[in-house]
Amino acid sequence: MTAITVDDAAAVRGHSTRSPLAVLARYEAIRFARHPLFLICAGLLGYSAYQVHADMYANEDPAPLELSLSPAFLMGLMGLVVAYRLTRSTRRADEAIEGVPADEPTRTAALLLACLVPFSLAVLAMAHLIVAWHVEPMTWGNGWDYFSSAERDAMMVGAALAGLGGPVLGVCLGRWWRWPGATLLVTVVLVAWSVLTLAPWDSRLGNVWHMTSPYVLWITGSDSDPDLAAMGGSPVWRLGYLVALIGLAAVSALLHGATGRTRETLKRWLVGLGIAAVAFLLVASLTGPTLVTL
Amino acid sequence: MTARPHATVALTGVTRKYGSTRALDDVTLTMSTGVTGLLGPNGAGKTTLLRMLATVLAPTDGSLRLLGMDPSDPTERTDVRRSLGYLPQEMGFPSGFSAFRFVDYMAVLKEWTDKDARHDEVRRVLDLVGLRDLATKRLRTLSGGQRRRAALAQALIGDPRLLILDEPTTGLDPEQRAALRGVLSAAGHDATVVLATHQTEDVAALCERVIVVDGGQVRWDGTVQDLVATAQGRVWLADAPTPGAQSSWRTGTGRHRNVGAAAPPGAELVEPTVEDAYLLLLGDRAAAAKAEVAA
Repeated sequence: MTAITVDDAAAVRGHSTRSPLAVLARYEAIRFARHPLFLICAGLLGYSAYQVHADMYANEDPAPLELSLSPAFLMGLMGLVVAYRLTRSTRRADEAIEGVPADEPTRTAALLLACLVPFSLAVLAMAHLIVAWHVEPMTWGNGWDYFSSAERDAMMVGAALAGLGGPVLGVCLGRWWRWPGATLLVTVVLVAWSVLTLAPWDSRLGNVWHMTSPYVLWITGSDSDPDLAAMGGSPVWRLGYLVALIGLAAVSALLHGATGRTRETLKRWLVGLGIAAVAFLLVASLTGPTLVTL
Repeated sequence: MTARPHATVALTGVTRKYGSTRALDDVTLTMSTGVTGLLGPNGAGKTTLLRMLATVLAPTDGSLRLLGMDPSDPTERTDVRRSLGYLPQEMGFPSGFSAFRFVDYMAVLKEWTDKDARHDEVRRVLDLVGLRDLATKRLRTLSGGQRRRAALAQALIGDPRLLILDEPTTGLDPEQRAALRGVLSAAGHDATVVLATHQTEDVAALCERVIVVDGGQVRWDGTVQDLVATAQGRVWLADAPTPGAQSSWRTGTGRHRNVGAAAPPGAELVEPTVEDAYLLLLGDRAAAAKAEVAA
């Protein structure tokens, strides 16, 4: 066969050698922040933060359950839906997008960085609560005074992490699951999982089961309930488990479309994070108490 | 077949299978600067070929080199993509995007990270396709032709050295098509432009070279003039359809244009077009295949 003389490739006019990740992440963050569902949820979160002050001025104790639930639900669960939609929104242009230099893992990384938008709001909401409670300690009703200050703070941080974990899971789902009902199904499963893990189970195994859920409540029963109990396990160590779960979702998302050495590296991260998640879960289950009737 | 010198696209024995179907079968081709038209019936393998040139599909077998690089290597593939513009056959748009925002988004994906330069470029390509005045309109409110032009605008970002266009004129009105021809012919001065189309008049107006693909194989590869020359003496006008003509239709003058193997004695011969030559080429191939089966 005759040798083929070919032109050397030269950079196209205007093309920059800088990675587009930062610009793309900013682009996706703006899209996230402008999404109607996110805007509604951000408004509701702001209202719940305002309600804390209103309750304090009225000398009423805010219900900690609801307060930790709102960022987890509004930024986590609803953030999952928004992130899924953003991830899937460009699918119609996939064919053209596949022919651009920014590969799929770069585009996924930009979407993952955009998840910092809901996370920032969840962090602000929880930081506001933590500061408010530290500046003007309120009476913790419903058995919450059983927990130490550090444990309560860890619970609040856990709720804020849900504001990151939900959207990151949404990106992961968007990359791997094209079924339109995916977010609804996953949302129902996550809620059901959280409710089921509230079942009182006085054993170390019960601790493990309780803490597997991405979002947990630490008190079961109500003031009038003779079975009011604090759930077992260590909220502080559980944060490591949550971070590992978020890492697993992020790496799984990045794995879609990754090739060559990047793919192999991501697979190793996946294994490492899986081991870390199990380890943190076990440590969190073994270091805290088992179910305590209050 | 030997490769042409200074080729920007070189396929050697390229095959692409989908299950047991061979969408492309042992294709060897080279292309260089200029506008090349791809003609062929539906399912001929044109889109498969273009998707390979756009690096979104890998050959099952054979070798493909683009701009001197091997797209099967991830690093080289990215380098090819930096010099590539691609308009797919069917293209949707992210919901809620305006034309400007969509092209801007694509420019970011094409590594235009400087905001001012990127916005200037987006305005330039929107201007090229005649969408500047509609840049802020949401894409879903635009007509099919306007959306097609927005899709084309993203392919033109950065004056790519390899421009792959799958049916670029679909949905465009004659004025828009004429304007687009101007843009593409200008691009063909410095870049390799490959366009697949069913519009034979676009090929006649734009392309220096035409490749006819059918059944996953190259059936014709040459200049437009050479293709038209194959139909010389095989197109004629008559008052009625001529029996045995391969194609025949009544024209606006009331007379019948006949395309066939040979004009009857005394027939009024007319100048053939690319379409006539294309119909004859495919008809001849079909007749040859039928004869082969019968034999």
